[in-house]
Amino acid sequence: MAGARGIAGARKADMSQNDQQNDDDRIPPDPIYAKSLSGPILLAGLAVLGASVLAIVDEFHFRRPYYGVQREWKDVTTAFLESRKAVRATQVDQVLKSLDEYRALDAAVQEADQAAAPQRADVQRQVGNLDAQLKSLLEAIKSPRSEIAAISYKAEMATAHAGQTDPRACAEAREYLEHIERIRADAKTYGWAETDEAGRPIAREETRPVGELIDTMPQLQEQKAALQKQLGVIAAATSKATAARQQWLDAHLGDLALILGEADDAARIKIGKRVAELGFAAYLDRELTKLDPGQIDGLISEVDDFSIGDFKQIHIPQTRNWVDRCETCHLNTRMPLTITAADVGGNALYASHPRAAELFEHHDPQKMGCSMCHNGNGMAVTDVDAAHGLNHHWLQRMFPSANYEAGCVQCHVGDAFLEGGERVSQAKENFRQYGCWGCHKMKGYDEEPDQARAVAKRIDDIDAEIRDLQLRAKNATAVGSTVFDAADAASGADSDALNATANATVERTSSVAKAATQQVATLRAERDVLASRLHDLYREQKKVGPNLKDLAAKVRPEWLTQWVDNPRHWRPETKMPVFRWAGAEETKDVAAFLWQSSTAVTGVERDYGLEGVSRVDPTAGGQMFMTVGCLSCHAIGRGERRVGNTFAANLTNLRDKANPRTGLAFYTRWIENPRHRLAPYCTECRRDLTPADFVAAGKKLVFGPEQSTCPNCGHELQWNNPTVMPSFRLTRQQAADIAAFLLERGSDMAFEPAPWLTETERFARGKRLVQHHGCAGCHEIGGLEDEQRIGTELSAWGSKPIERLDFGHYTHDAHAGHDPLEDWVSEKDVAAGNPRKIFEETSGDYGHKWYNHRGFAAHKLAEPDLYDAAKNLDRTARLRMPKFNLGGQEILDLASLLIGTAEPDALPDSIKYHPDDRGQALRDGWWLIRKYNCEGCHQIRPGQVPAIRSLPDLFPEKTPDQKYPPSLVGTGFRTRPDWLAEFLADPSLGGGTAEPQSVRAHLPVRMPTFMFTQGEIRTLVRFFDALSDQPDVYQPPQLAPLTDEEQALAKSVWDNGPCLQCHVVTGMAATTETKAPNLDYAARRLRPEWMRPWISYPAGMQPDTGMTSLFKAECTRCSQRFDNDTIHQFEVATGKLDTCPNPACGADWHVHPPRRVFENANAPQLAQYHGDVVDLLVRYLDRLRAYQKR
Amino acid sequence: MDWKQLWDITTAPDNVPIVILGILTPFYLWYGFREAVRNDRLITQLEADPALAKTHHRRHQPYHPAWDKTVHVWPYLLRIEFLAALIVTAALIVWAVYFDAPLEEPSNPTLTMNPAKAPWYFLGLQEMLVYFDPWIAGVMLPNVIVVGLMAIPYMDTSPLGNGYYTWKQRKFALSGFMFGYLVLWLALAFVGTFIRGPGWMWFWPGETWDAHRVVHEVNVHLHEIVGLTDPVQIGIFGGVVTLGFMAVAGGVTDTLLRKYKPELFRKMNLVQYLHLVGFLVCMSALPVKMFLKLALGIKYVWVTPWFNV
Repeated sequence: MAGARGIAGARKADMSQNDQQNDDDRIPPDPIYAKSLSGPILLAGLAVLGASVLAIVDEFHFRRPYYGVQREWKDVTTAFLESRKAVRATQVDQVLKSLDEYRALDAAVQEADQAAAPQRADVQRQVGNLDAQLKSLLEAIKSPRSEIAAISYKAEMATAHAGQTDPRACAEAREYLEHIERIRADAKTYGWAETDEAGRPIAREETRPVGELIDTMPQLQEQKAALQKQLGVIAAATSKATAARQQWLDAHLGDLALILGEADDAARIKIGKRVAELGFAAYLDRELTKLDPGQIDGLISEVDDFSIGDFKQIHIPQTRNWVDRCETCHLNTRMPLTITAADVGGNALYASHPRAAELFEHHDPQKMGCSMCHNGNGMAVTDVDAAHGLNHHWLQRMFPSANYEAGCVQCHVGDAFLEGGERVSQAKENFRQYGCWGCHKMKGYDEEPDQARAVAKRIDDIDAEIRDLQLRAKNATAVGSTVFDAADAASGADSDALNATANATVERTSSVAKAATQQVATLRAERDVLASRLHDLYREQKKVGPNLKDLAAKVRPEWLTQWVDNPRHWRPETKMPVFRWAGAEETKDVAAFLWQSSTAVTGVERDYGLEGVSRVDPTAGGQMFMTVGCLSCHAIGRGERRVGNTFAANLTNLRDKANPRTGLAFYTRWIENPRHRLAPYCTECRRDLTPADFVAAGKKLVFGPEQSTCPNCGHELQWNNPTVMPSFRLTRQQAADIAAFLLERGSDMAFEPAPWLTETERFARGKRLVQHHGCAGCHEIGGLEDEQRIGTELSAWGSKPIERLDFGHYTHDAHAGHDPLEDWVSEKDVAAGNPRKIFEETSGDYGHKWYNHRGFAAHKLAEPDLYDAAKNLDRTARLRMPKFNLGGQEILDLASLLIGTAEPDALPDSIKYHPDDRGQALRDGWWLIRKYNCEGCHQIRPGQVPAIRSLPDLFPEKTPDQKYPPSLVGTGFRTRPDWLAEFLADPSLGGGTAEPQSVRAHLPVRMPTFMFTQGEIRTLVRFFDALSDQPDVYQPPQLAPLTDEEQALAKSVWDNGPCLQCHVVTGMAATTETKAPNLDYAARRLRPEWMRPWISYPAGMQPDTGMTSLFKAECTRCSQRFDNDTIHQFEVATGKLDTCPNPACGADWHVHPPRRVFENANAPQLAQYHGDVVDLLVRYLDRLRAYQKR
Repeated sequence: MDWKQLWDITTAPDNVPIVILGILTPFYLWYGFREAVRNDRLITQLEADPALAKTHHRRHQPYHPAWDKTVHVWPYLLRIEFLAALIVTAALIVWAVYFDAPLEEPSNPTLTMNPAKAPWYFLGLQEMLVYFDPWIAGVMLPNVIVVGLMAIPYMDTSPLGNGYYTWKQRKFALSGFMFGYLVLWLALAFVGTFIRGPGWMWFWPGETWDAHRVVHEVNVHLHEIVGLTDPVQIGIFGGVVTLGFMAVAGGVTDTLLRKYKPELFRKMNLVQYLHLVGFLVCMSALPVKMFLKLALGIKYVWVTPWFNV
């Protein structure tokens, strides 16, 4: 600029000269030259500077919000850790000081320390003196020593270069050496301060030649080393005592943790049980922080060392180079101690991951990152929305807190139940129970029909192939015989040649025929296997609603139409959804079609007889209904008087619904055996078969798997009603009684007569409507057996682009955050007295916008026709999804399930869950457990309470454990797989209706027959094995046979012992005293390795069991006897399992197994027995089987 | 009126340049014309005075007869350019800080965005696709534009207007340029940005862009109005109409040029002149086709198996 002005100035000067010459000084200056731009340029320069500063500030402040977060994190976390440390230290100190043992050890340490103190002080003083002297000496000789070293070098080099013999060099070297000697001879004075024995300071001084001083140095150092060694000797006693104290601390750390956790006795016993369940190490990991103040200090210094502005990121190179920087802000996620939001000022940002130990065990963040589960943008750190993936263009939005379990579904879509994913497991159960899968295909649900189709197709192919092969064999044989005949007919010379040809041909053709026949045999074998599988598959496939082919016999005609119109009108709690029929005529059409399609099943009328039942007894039926187990799935009564479960229908007021003429017979038949389909259905002939079909083929229509092929076409038949309802092995009389009980009561609801049901012109219209609404997804309907699902597949719905979801006219509202359902409350929640505005509650999750998958799904589930609003649509173009009676939480959970579904390649394969054999067994098993509602009666996993236990009449409060249907926790370890398979196939073990219960005949509730297929039984047996960590194949241990003497002894225990007070064996009737399983089956049923600990110490294996231990444990080392309570208390108090409670002995019972003894006055001869009585009993029980067999 | 949507479109990072253009273009038009008018007045004044007309002095404001006719580039031009560079730098930094790159999700071939828009500077071309088939609008016309721009110095050799604003001396050149730039380029880009919504449908500003909007639009080819069905006849008919139009438009242009710009016709050789006329006809053809399409609903005039016009 200066230049510019300079030139301009020069120019001006130039011009002014011209001007003077031209004598024209009135010419104004040219503004182009005269105007300076320095001002604007300065301003613009400043603007650029300002913009640059802005860029830097933006970069380091606004784009790095985590700076502030990290600063705050340091403060709150350090404060929290400090507080925790203080608490911890005080607690430990207090507890330790209260323990005698510790006090003694600590006193020993102090004592030893004090004893050694005077001597130690003296030696330490001497060491101090030496140190001072050494230091001063070193200072004094430093310079001469270095000079000597330098001259020595010169001396060495003098001869090294010229050679050892060179006289001049030698002379030079000598000179150097003499110089060194001179230095060494110089006297040097140095001084230092010493302390005498009385602790008085003495100033010392010494003057000696340098050479001597240098040589003194190592001597002094040796002296010092000797003194230090002496110090060690003096401290030996103290170290020993300290080590003993430390050892004790290490050994009792667990006890300390226990004591720290809970102070009172009851709580400690509770902890003891938990320890027994989990094992000690796991308990400590999970329940308590094992961090001592030192470790907490370590954490504090880690926090302190963290440099503000650092990224904390997880990089997984082998998994698509995944990078997650979530921990740049969420710094406490993996803290080794639990930090709740409340601990850190209510800010969840600084909390540690909930249930971290449990979840991280299988989902190590270092290997899987964060956003694999949570979604969001793991790399972004510039602002919260970006990091959480809430940018409109980021496809993986973070799952909001209301739906965080959606993350589980991404990998676990194939699992019916997830430990730790309880809400999404419930959603999966609801998906099943509400029959969502009737219309929507979803991985894991209802896969049997597809499999059945595939198997049936393969069978058809095989049949065709067999026909081909048979034809080929036949043709080959025909060719052979033709040639042979020709040879026969010929004569003369031709004959020989022809014969030879004929032989060769026959040989060839017969080998072709033989090969074909062999192939046919192979194919037939395959076909048999497939046919049996198909047979099973037809049994395994279920529908969520009842079979409507029986409708006309089952329901009252007047009842039907109003039910179709709105099922919740008559049965408010029904899971059947409400369809949006366009007017009463449509309802009538549908009802008429259903009615007429069901009466089309011929032969039905006649089969609904009540043979063998003369009169019914509703009271007895009611008794049976309430106790036999119906209520583990069904409920009865409304409001306060309601009892039972929600798995199946509420059976209140059934009289309203039942057909007055045939209803009783129908329900009797249904209760007796619900799987009994009156008319088997042939998938090939596509119709229900009548007795006439069988008669024509010379067979009789008998229900059962024996006649499982079609008499017309030979295909496998569908013999089963597609229901999960089992048979309780009731006699027809009992079934009729229950039916009578159920049909006894009705409501005062009025139903108008329904003449339209038989109007044939409604049939076609009704059929179209039923097809259009996909009724056949949940019900079996005559003529609609082959209907396909009408809904969209949901297995990867979460990966669907949002643009493919039709929000209808709400697209813009969803974008803008206007929610028509803001005040929406589920009717179910209102009825339950818990109205929740779920959409208002969760509206903040995505910044009040609901143009996202969660928004779409939840709104659709709440109001299925929402997206039709304001649309002028044709009847058939309207949305068909009916309205389900869902609660707010159910909607949110189902939404989690849906948004969690993903395309298989959405996540890298390497992090996905690939179950091993055990995992697969568990996965398969859970589908069945849920399908058949096993959890209605049984406890499958610890902590789960079966629904049936909530029946107050059957199980009053404090019902002993043995009165409930048995808990199946540990079943895989308890029962033998072969027996379990046998039992599952027929729980009466051949008893039938006459003797319907086998093992637990004393229970009023009985295990029903589920008519499992072999495949299902295999899956269940493997499931229980896997659940108890047992291998697939069970090898029973070889038990030593009993000697005669042992046999007698065992029998005396058996006869005199109280076993049979609770248990029964064959020939004994179950009485009210009977509390325990029939021991006849023990040998076949139970594993000896389970029986042994169980008989010894039942409460240890199942804390609430009614079985008491009759035996005492005798320590084989100290011969002392303990009862089980003593052992148990000892275990609880110390956390030590299997150690002799005798403090003087303390034997490890793993090394010295104790023997169990029986102290009973009635069996004195046992006193002489030196073996283990429990072992004897186990062997005796195992022999019982042998006797039985004989 | 959907003000929010209008605001969203206006403030979208993609559209910032076109919005700035929308402000700067009128401003500079006004500024340029203001200066041009003042200069033109001066030129008239100078030309009116025979003494002044012959002397070498600048022909633009500010003016004084004694001032130099020209000034040095350094520093008088460069310092202004430096200032401009500083201002633009500051503005670009602020822009870069506050508007992040408008990145979107990874492209999904099975799911295209709606509307799918080219960058603002290509929206004019994209808009042309409405009126011509892709070969014409996407390949031929852009080439004509590039070649035409390259050809300007060979057709327009007049030194008038160099270094100063003038309307009087460059009426024809400026009109031609403004028609090409403002109408054929900017206006089309504005239409593409603000008017074209989902489905490339025409939405007036403030009308909600509804992807589900249903419009009733009848588009016919010209030959369908005439009633031709035979492809050969259609091809010939379209060719005759199109080329006929070109010929007529060329003739009219020629007549007008000769009448109103006789000096232009005199100074140019035949090649220059034919090119000029050709380019002018091409430029005028686009609005004609737009009118046919938008007002009369005629899709193509000339339909052949290879291209459509």
